[in-house]
Amino acid sequence: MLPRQLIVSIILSTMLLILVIRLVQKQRLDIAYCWLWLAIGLASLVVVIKYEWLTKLSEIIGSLTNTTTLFLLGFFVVLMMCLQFSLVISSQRRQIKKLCQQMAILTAELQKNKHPSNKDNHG
Amino acid sequence: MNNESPKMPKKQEILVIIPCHNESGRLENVIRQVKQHLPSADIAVIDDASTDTSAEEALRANGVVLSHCTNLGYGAALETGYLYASDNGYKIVLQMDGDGQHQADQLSNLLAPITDGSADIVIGSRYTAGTSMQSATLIRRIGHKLFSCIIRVLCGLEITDPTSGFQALDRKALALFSSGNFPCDFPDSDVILMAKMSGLRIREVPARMLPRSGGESMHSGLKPLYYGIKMLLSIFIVLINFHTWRSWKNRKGE
Repeated sequence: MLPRQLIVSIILSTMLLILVIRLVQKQRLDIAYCWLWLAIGLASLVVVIKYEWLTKLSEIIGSLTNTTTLFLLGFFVVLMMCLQFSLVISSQRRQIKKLCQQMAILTAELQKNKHPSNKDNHG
Repeated sequence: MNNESPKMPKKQEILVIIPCHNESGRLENVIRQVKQHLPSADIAVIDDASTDTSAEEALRANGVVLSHCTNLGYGAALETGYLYASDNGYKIVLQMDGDGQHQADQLSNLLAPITDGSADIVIGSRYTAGTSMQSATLIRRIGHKLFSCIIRVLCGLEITDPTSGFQALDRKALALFSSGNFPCDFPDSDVILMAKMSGLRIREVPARMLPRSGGESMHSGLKPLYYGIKMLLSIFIVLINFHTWRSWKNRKGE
C-alpha cells in the first residue's frame, strides 16, 4: 500500500470511530446499535495497518486481488447491517402493535366506566 | 326476529367482534342486525384507524369501540378483539366483517356447533351455501383452490372457504389466538393449520354472504400476489413451529 493511501485510510477509519463514539456520547445513537459501526471502524483500521493480513485472507478465500476481498467483506457487512435493522424494525413493529392494542382495550374500558349506561350493554 | 334457541349461552358469554377500516355507511346497520338476531351477545367493534366516521357509527349503534391509534392490519384488529374477549372472560367469540358481507341472521348457524360442543372453531363458508365460485375473480378462485388443497393435504381437513372471516371460536381457540401467535395481516389458511395442529376441532358450515356494497377490499390491487406469497411462507413457518402447536395440543389434553 502506498504511504499516501495508508494515511488517508487511517484518517477515514479514525474519523468513523470518533464519529460513532461522539454519537453515542450525545445519545443520538444507542449503545445497542453502535457495536457494528465500531467493528467496521476497527476492522478497517486493522486492515490498513496490517495490510498483509488482507493479502493472506485473499489467498485463503481464493480472491485474485485484495480489492475483491474488500468488496466481498463490505458487501457482507452491509447485508448484516440490513438484517440487524430488519430485526430492530420487526421488534419495534411488534411493540407498537402491542401498545396500540392495549391502548385500544384500556380506552374502551375507561369509556365503559365513564358511561355506566354502556356498562349495561357490556357486563 | 330473534333466532336464539333456548340453549343459547347467557349474556356476557358471547362477544361479537367486528374489525373495520373505513366502513362508515355500512357498520351501523351491521351492528343493528347483530343486536336484532343475537340480543344476548355483546358487540365490540375494532376500528383499525379509520379516517371516516366508522367509530362514531359504532358508538351510535351502542357497540363498544376499540380504536387502534394507527392502522395495524386485519389480523391485528382481530387479535385486539380476542384480547378484549379474553380479558373480559367471554366464552364464545363470533367474528364478522364490518362491510356488510356477512349476514347476522347466519350467526346462530355458526354458534350451534360451539354450543353443542362439537367444534372449537366454526368457519362460515360461502361455497357450501350454494354460492358459486364463479362469482369470485379468477385469482381469488385459484387462491381458494390452492389453499384448500394445501390444508387438505397437510391436515386432512376439507375447507372450501379458507379466507372466510366469518367464524365462531370457543375458549380453547380464543386462548390459542390471544397467545401472541396470531398473524398481523391475513389470518387465513395458516391460522386454520395452526389451530388444527394445536388439536382444535374445526368445522365448516354453510353461510350466505353478500357482495361488498362499497369501500375498498383488503384483497384489491396487487395485494392478492402479496397474499399468496405471504400465505405460503406463513404456512411453512407454521409447519416448522410444530413443537409449539404440539405443546398446545398436550396442554389441551391435560
